[in-house]
Amino acid sequence: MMISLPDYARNRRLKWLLAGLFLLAVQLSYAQSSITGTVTDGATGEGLAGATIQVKGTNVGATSDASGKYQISLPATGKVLVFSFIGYQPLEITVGSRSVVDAKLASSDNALSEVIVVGYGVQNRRDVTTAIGSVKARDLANQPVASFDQALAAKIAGVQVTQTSGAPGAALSVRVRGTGSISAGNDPLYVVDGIPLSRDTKFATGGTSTQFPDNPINVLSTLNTDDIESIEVLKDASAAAIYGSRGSNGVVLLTTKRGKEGKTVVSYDSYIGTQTVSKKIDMLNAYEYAQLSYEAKNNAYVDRNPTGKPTDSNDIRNKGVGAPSTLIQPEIVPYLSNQPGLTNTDWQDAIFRSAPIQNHTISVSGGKENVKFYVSGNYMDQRGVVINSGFKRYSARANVDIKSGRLTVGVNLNPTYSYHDLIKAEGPYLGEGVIGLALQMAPIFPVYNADGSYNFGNNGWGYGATSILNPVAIANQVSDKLSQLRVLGNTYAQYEITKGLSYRLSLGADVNSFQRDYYRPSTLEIRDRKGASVPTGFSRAQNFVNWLVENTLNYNRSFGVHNISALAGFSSQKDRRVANELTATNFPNDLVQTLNAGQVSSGSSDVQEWSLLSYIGRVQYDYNGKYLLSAAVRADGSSRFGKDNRWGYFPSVSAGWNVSQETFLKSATWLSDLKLRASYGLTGNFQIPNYGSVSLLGYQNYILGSEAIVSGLAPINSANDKLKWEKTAMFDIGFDVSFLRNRLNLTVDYYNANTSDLLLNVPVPRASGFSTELQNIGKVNNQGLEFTLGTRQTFGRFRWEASANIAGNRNKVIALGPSGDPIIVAGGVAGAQFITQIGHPIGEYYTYVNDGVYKNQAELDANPALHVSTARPGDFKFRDVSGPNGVPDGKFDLSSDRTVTGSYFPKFTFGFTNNFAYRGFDLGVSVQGVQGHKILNLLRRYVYNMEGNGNLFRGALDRWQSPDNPGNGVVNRANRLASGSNGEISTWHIESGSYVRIRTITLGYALPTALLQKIRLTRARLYVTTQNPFTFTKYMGYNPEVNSRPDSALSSGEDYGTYPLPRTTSVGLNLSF
Amino acid sequence: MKKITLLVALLVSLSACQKDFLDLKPLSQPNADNFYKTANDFGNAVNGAYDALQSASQYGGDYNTVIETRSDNVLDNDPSSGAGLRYNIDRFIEPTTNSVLRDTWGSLYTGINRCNLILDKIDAVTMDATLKSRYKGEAQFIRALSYFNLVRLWGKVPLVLKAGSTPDARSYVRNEVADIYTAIEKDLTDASAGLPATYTGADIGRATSGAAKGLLGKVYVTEKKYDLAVSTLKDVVNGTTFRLLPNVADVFSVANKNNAEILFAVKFKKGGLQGEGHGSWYGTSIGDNIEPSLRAAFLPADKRLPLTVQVPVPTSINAVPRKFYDELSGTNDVGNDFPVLRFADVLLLYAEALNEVAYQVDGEAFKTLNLVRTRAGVPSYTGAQLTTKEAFRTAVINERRLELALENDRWFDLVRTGTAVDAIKVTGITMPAYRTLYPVPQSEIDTYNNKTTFGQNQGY
Repeated sequence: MMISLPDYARNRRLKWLLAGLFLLAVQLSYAQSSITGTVTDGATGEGLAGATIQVKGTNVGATSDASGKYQISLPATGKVLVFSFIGYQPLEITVGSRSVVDAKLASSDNALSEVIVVGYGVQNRRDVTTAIGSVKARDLANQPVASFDQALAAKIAGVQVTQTSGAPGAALSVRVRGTGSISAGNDPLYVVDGIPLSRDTKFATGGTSTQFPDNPINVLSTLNTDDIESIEVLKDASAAAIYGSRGSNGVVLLTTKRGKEGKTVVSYDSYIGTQTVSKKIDMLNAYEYAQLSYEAKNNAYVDRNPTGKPTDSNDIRNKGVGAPSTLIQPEIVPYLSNQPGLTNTDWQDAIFRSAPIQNHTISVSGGKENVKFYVSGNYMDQRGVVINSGFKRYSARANVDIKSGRLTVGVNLNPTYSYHDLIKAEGPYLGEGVIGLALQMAPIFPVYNADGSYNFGNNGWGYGATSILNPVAIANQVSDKLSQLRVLGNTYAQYEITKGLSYRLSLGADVNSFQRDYYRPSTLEIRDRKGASVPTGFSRAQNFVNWLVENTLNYNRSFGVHNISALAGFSSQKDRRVANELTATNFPNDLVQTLNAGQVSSGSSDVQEWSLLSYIGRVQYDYNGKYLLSAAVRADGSSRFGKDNRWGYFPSVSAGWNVSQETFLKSATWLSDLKLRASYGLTGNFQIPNYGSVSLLGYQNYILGSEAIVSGLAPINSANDKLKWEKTAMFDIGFDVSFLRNRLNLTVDYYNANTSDLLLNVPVPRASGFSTELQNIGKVNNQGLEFTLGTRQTFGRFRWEASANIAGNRNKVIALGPSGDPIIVAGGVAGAQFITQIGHPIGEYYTYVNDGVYKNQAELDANPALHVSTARPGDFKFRDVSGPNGVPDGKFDLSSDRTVTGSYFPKFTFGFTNNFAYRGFDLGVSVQGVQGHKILNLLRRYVYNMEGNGNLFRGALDRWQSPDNPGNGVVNRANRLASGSNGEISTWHIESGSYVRIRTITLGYALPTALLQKIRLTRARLYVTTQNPFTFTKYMGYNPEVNSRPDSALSSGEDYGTYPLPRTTSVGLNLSF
Repeated sequence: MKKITLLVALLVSLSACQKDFLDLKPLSQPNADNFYKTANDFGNAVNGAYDALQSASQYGGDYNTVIETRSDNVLDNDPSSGAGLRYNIDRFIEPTTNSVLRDTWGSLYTGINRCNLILDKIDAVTMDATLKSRYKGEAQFIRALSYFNLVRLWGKVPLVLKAGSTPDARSYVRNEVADIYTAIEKDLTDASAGLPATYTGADIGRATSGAAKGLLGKVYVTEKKYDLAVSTLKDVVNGTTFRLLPNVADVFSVANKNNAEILFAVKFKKGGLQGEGHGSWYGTSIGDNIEPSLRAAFLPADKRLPLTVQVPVPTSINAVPRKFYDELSGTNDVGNDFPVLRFADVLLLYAEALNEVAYQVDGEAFKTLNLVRTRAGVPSYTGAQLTTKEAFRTAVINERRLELALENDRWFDLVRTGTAVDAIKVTGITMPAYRTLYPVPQSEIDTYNNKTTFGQNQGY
C-alpha cells in the first residue's frame, strides 16, 4: 500500500534521510497473533542467526536470534511468512493455523539456482547454455576502490582486470578472453540496466602529451559500486551475440539494485581509510649517487683521454677532452669525502604521501506490491598517494517501478558529478612525468631552497647533466582539473498483452559533459632554461549525448514439459559528441589562470556522430529442464560501416544437457548436478572510426597572385564503401558440475575464437592516389581454458566458502595485410620496438638480447665482431641472433640482431577468494595472480643506465668496476657517456611481470540480533579492510600490471613511469534499519 | 491482436527512416561525398591540385635529387646523410626500395588523382562556362605535367585518367610510353584551348594557354616530333606575353616573382602554416655540391656562372646556389618559386627543333639560340662555328645546361639525346645504361595483384 505525505510525516525515522528524493514509506499495522519457530540451513540443520522473517504484504518483520529462533506477531490480514537470509534462497510458507513455523532455507550459493542476467532478459543459472561469469553485490561490497571494475579483478575466470595506474579514478584495462583486435579497441561493451554505453567517452579528456600518453580517467567510476546488484560478463560469442556488432570483446552487464516488496530498509554503508604507496623503489642515497656519478665521469674521461687520470682537475679535463660530461660537478665533491650531514633527499618520499579515502552511501529501498523503489546517495573522496592528486564523486540514484494492472512503468536515474585532480605520472623526465622525475632527480638537491622556493638545481646544472625538473614543483604547481558530469538513466513501460506475452518500450540516455582545465605557471621552470617560464594553459570541453530507444516483445510459456521463451526487438541508438579546445600562452602573471588572462594561441572544434539500428531475435527452449536449446540473431546497421556493408548479421546457437536429470544419474547422491554445454556464435567489434569509410578532404593550400595563400582541398584518404565491423566467431564447450549436495562446484570452459576482418591500414597502389587504405583484412585467434572451483563447507558454527579460478589464453596472429609483412611499431623511444607477426601473439617485444657484461679485455678481444670498437670491459655483451641472410653471421649488428624477447600476454591468470564466518565474525581474503608476462621497463633507460646522470636503482651497487671487482656480471660499468652499445633497448630492459597479490583482507563483526533489536537496527557490521597489502613479484618497478599504452594492442606492456598503486587500510560500517 | 498489429506498424514506421538515420556524414571535416558540387568546390579542388606540385617529393625538393643530382650538374658526397638516399641516386646505386623514388612516384599520382577527380566530376556541374573550361584546362595541365615527369623518370607507368577505387588500382598495368605521350599531348592541346592567355590579380600564377603550349612544345621535342614542336613553340616565341628579362639573375629573384619570363612556376611562400614554403634547394653544409664540370662549362664572363655559386645563408649552416637564394623565415623555410618552364627554355627548345627539322647556317635557329647567349653576356654562335646539324645540336644542349642549370632539365636532356652515359663518365662515375630509367619502387610493385606482369624496369 502506498501512503500519502501525512503518513510519511508520522514515520519520523526516515525524515532525515529522504529530503529531495522519492518520498515513500509504509504504514504500521497492529499485531493479532504470535508465531515462533527456527530458521535453519536446509543442508546442515544449523540455526541461522540474523535471518529476516516478514509477513507478506505487510511491513511486519522480525529477525532470528543467534540460534536461529524467532518470534513474530502475525496481523489478522497476514497469511504468508517470507524467510530470507543472505546467501540463501527466500522461502515463503503459508502459516495456516499453526503457531510454530520452522523454515529450512536452501543455500543460494549453489550457483545453479541463482538468477542471472543475460542480454535482454534473465535466466536461471540451471538453464544457461553459454559462458557467463557472474558476481553478486556482496562480492563487490566494502572494497575501498573507486570503481566496480577494480572490484571485479580476479573474480571471473577469463576476465583480466589490469590496474595500469594507481591514480584515483584512473581507467583500468578489462579484457575478456584475450585480445582480438589489433587496431580497433579491445574494451568490452558495458551495459548498465540495459543501456549499452559508448566507449568514445573513454578518450574524451585527451592528454597533455602525445608522445607519453596519460592514463585516461575511468569514466565508469561515476557508478557507485554500492548501487550494483550484480555484474554478469558474457564471455562467449553465443551469449554476447545478442549485442551483435558490439559483442566481440565480451559484454559486461551491470544491474543496479531495485526495491523489493517488504519492509523499507535504510542502509548506511561507509568506510574511512588511509592510503600509502604500496611500494617504494630502492634507490641510491646521495653519497652512493655521488660516488657513482664520479666514477661514471672518470670512466667517460679516461675513455676519451687514455692518458688522463681520475684525479685530473676540470681544467685539465677541459684541455684534454673538452666534453662537459667528463667534468666533475663541484656539488658532488663534499659527498665523495663522506662529509656527514649533507642534503640527502628521498625524492620518492617528497612526492608520496599518506592520503585519506572515504566513501559513504545511504540507500533507502522497499516497496509494496505496486510500487518498489531504491534510492541512494553517495559521496566518495579519494586523495592520491602522489601529492596534489585526487578524485571525488557525488552521485545519486533513483530506481522506481510502478505496477498498475498489466502495465509496469519505471525509471532509473543516476546523476553523478565527479572531479579529478590530475597529475602527470606517465612518461620520463621529457614528458614531465613526476614518477620518473622523482626517481631520476639527484638526491643531492633539496626539495626547497632556504627561502622556501622550489629548488631547480638539477635544471640547467651544466657539466653535461640532463636537465631534470623538480617533481614536487611540477606536482604542486601544475593545475590540471577535470570534471565529469554524467546523467545516466532510462525509463520504461512494460505491458502484458496476454499471458506470457509482454511488450516493453525503453528510452535511455547517457549524457556526459567533460571539462578539463590545465595551467602551467611561470614559476615552474622549463627544461634547460633557468628562471621564469612562459605560462601555458588549455581548456577542453567535450559533451556527449547518447540516446537509445528499444522496443521488445517477450514471450514466456510452458506447455507441459516444453518451456519456451522468445524475444523480438528493435532498437536505435545515436551518439553525438561536441568537442572544443582552446590553448593560451603569454599570461602576464600567474594571478588569473583561466585562458582569458593569456593570449589564445590555438583553438579547435569537432563534432562527430554515430548511429546504430538493430533488430533482435532469440528463442530459448527446454525439454523438462533436461535438454536446453537457444538460438539468437541480431542485425546491426551503423553509420560507421561503409555503404556496401551497412548491415551486419550476428547469429548464435547454444545447447545444454542437464545430465544429472537423467534417471541413470538421479541415484548418484555424490553428484548433485552435471550440465554439458556447447555454443557457437558470431559477434562484431564496432569500435572502428566514425568516418573511416568516408573519403575525407584535407586542406591543401597553394600560393597565387602576390603571395596570397589560397585554400585548396583534396581527398586525404580513399572511400571504402566496404568497411565494416571486425568479426569474431567463437566456439565454446564446457560443463558445470556439483558434488556432495552442491558443496563443491566446478565449471570448466574451453573456447576457440577466430577474429577476422581486422581493421588494418593496408598499403595500396600509389597509382590510386593514396598510399594506404583502412581495410578489413587481418585475422587473430584466441583460445583458452577456464576453470572455476567453488566450495562451501560448514563445521558447526564455522562456515568456509572459497572460490578459485584460473584461466589461460593463447593469442596468435593468423593473417595480416596482403603481403603478410609483420607490423613493427616503436614504443616510448624509437629503439623500443614491438613486432606483430603471423604465428605469434600480437605486439611482442622486439629487441636485442643482452648477455651480461664483458668481464675483462680478454673476453672483449675474443669476439671483436660482437661489439663496436668503443666497447670496454664492463660494457654490455649482446647476442648475435641473426644476420642479413636470416642466420647468425658471427657479428652483432643493429640492423639484423633484433629478436622476439617476450610478450605482455600472461600465460595464465588466477584468483582465489576465501570467506570464513564464525558467529558474528567474518574474514575474507582474496588473492590475484598473473603469471608469465614480461614488461618492457623503459624507465631503466634512465634509472638503471649507470651513467650517473640522474639517480639510479640501488642495484647499481652491483656494477662492474674492474676485472677484479666485476660486480654481479649483469650490471654494466658506470660511464657518463655510454660506450659499447649500452644504450640500446635490449633484454636488459625487459623484466618478468609475474606477480601474486593479496588484494584484500577483510575482517568484520556483525552485532548479534538481540542487541540489534534493542537499538532498532536490522543489521550492523563493523569491518577493517586492507587493500593491496602484499604483492609478490620480481618486477623492479612499482606495479607489475603497468602498461603505458593499454589501448594500443600493438605496443602493450611498457613502463615509462606509472602512478603506483596505493595500499589502503580502512574501517567500515554497514548499518541497516 | 489489434495491439500487436499496432506494434508491428510502429516498428515498420520506425524502420522506414533508417536510411537517413544511418547515413551520417562528417560534420567537422569536409568529405568527398558532398564536395565537387559547386564552382567554388572546383576552385578549391584545382588549388589542391596545384598544391601537389608544391610537395617536397616534387618541385618542393626531391626533383632536385632525382633530376639534377642524378645528372652531371650536382653531386652528393654524403653517404651518411639520410641513410645515403641521395648519395645512392647520385652514384647510380640506388636500390628499388629508395624512399625518395617511392615518395616521388606517390606524390605524382596523388596530384594526378586530384586532377582526375576534377575532370571526372566537373562536366556534371552547372557553372560559368569560361570558368569551367579554365578549371578543366588547369587540371589537364597539371595532369600532363605529372605524366610527363613520370614517363621521363620511369618509362612505362600506369596511365590512370579516371579516378578509380583502390581495389581497381590493384589490377592496373604499365601502359606503353607512346600511349602516355598521346594522353599528355591531348591534355595539353585541350588545356591550351581552354586556358586563358593571361590572368590578373589573385589568379596570377595559374597555368595559361601559353604555358600549356610551351609545355606541349617541350613534350614534342622530347618525342622528337620536331615539326610539331616548331609549329607549337612558334606561337609562344612570337607571342607578346612572354619575353626574356634583360638581366638573367632577375628571373629568379624572390622579389621578382611572376615575371615576364616565367611561363609556369610552382609557387611557394615562406612562413606559411602548411608547408607553403620549402627548405633551401641544393643547400649544403659540407662543401660545394656543384659538379666541377658544370662550372668548367661556363665562360668566365658568363652572367649565369655566378648563379651556380654557393652563397652562405645568414642564421643557417647551409650555403645555397645564388639562383635559389632566400633568407630563412622564423620557421627555417624559404619561398623561392620553382621555374618549371620559362621563356629562355622555350627559345632553346625552339632553336633545337628548328635545327632538327633543317640545319640552316645562321638561320632562325642561330638567331634564337643567340638571344639567350647575348643576354648571358657571352658571344653569339655563328654558322662558321657550328657547321653541321650535329654541331648545333651539341651547342644547344650545352646551352641548355648552362641556362637551365639546377632547373630540373639536365638529366632529361641527357637521356633524350642519348648522351647520359658519356656525360656521367666525365664526373668519374660509370653509369649502367639501363639506369636511364629509375627502378619502379618495390613497395609499389608489391601492391599489385599481378606483380610479375606489372614488372620492374629492365636491369633492376
